[in-house]
Amino acid sequence: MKKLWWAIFLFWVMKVSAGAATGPGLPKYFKPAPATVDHSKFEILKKDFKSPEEVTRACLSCHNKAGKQIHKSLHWTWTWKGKNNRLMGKAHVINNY
Amino acid sequence: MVSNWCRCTSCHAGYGWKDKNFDLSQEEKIDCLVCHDTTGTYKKFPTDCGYPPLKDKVFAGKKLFKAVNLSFIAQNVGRSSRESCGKCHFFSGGGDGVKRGDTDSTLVKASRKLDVHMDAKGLNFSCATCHTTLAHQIAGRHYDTPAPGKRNLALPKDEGYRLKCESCHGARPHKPEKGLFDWRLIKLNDHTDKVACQTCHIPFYARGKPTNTYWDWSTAGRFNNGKPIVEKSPLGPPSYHTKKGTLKWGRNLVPEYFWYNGTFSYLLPGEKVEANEPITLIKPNGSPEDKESRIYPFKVHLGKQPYDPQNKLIIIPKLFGPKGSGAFWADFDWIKASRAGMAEAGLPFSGKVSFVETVQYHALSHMVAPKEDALTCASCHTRKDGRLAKIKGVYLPGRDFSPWLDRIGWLACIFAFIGVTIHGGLRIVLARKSRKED
Ligand code: HEC
Ligand code: HEC
Ligand code: HEC
Ligand code: HEC
Ligand code: HEC
Repeated sequence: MKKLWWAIFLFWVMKVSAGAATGPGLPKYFKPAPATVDHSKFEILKKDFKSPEEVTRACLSCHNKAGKQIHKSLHWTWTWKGKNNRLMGKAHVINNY
Repeated sequence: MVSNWCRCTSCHAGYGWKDKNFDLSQEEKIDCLVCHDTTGTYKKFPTDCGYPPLKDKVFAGKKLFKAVNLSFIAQNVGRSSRESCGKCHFFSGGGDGVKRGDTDSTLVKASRKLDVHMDAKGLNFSCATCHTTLAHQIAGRHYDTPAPGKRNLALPKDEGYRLKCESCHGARPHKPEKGLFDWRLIKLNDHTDKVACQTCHIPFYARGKPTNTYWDWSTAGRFNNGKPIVEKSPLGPPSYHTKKGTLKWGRNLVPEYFWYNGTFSYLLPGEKVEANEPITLIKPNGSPEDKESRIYPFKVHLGKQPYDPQNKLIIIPKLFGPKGSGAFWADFDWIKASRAGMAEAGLPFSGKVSFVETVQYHALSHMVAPKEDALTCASCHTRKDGRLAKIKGVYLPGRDFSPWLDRIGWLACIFAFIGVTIHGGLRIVLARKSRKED
């Protein structure tokens, strides 16, 4: 009996909705702004770098806030202080892989 | 991870994290290029603690890693991409798609069928389109702290996070194309306070690469006449591997569903746990009473791993290292590997190793399928074996049969009918009466 009622209900629902399906007027998502620099024109990046640290120093000579920003990030610390000071992060948890 | 440094830190955004004494305050040790390379030629060597190969180098006797051209890469830096984020995230768990089940290398050139947002020929989102990044802080859940942002349209007045599905779609995303009214879509919208978008829109996971569903470490270390064994499973990845043990894989899997409020609980190293199997290592928090909770899809991963039955601790074995260091992948002795690993983690070890079943959960948010592949009403609203058969705390029409609720419903119908009859009858009688009086 219940099934029958459901079938009738669903049939009705679908009938009402037939025809309408696609595309709400979503705003287009925010694409990043086009770049305003061409890094290949910077002399300091044309060096023959001997170590990756040299590259980092070159980047940081202009991007002088990036170092501190990265140092605060989870991708650098691999440590997260959770509730009740429980120390988590990739460097501190166990998994089963 | 502790005691397996150089292998694991090959995915750290830095150079040279080779032991616990690594100085995290050095700025020059930051690896800018791993995220900002746009040439696709930058790679970190898998066992060099985060360094790229500076001359041609062979990994594990097979795979050639070409020397990276630092100058070329530095001149071509730009925003992160699916490819750059994926260099680490696609390979968590030790291989392509192994761990997550919704994040693997097929997303680089995804089709709409695989992922409507990262569809290379369509919307072509990068990871950071959703994982909005402010001053290098990438939006996401951090362990027991939920991801930032609210479940509504992200307007300029909001904080600038766009990670939630609702940030771009709103909480009532289903709108008819023409006409004002569509009961079916209105009903769909009525679900979003209890059912997560992901639940209906990620009907299957591991649709790219096979993902690991079971990992039994207890069988690792077997040799065939002194030679390591690798047996392939029908899906491709190994079903047995001397270094790893017995493995099971799956593709196009049906998720399991739980209430989830955006936070997880973790069992931490050194926390005592009884061997009541399976031991839960990482699990989602949530309940039907909690307003923040939704019914959400998960990959469930089972494991069998070393345990110290005397100290009641999950063992962190040392895997990676030279012969004689105790490393399992060199000496193949669980007791030695456990002693070395636990010592480096600063934890006690009794000398006894047993193996216990463990379980952990992964919330699924990627590989959103096209709208025509979303779950149908009947996948949940069904009497038997529906997707939400095990979910408690909601009345799910079609699944649940509550004699009282149904009886009340019927009574209401009957009263309504009686009411209508009396009311109508009276009106007819009164109408006649009044006509007569005219
Ligand atoms: C109960 C299941 C269910 C839930 C929950 C759900 N959806 Fe849907 N969604 C569907 C179905 C089914 C369709 C296809 C509708 C149709 O036939 O037009 C759809 C269609 C869509 C579409 C395409 C709309 C169009 O007409 O182009 C978008 C976008 C969408 N859903 C986003 C979301 C978001 C965001 C959420 C969470 C806030 C969500 N959905 C929650 C089932 C669901
Ligand atoms: C000579 C100075 C200079 C050096 C050296 C430099 N950059 Fe830049 N970079 C800039 C400027 C200026 C911008 C533009 C900022 C803007 O558009 O808002 C920029 C923008 C960027 C962007 C954003 C690009 C975009 O499309 O919006 C990234 C990523 C970046 N730099 C990474 C790096 C990395 C990595 C290095 C080191 C290899 C580096 N930069 C070295 C000056 C520099
Ligand atoms: C359509 C939007 C979207 C895109 C594009 C996207 N993500 Fe996500 N991602 C999410 C959402 C939503 C979550 C769940 C956040 C939460 O926990 O509330 C998530 C979670 C994650 C997580 C954490 C998983 C966990 O276990 O909690 C990782 C890692 C991740 N994403 C990486 C990526 C990478 C790498 C890419 C690019 C290849 C990417 N994401 C692209 C929406 C997106
Ligand atoms: C950064 C913004 C953004 C986020 C976050 C986002 N979406 Fe979308 N989504 C879009 C855009 C833009 C479209 C294309 C809509 C269009 O073409 O009108 C889309 C389309 C869709 C469609 C219809 C695709 C089709 O072709 O069938 C579904 C379903 C959908 N999204 C579900 C989700 C779900 C589920 C989440 C959360 C995991 C999510 N979206 C998060 C922006 C977003
Ligand atoms: C992912 C599983 C799932 C799918 C798919 C699904 N539902 Fe539901 N539905 C639920 C859950 C859970 C509830 C209870 C939620 C609540 O109490 O708000 C519910 C409640 C309802 C209710 C009663 C409560 C209300 O809000 O009116 C109706 C009617 C309903 N669903 C209709 C539909 C229709 C029609 C479809 C297909 C277009 C559909 N459902 C698809 C899970 C689902």
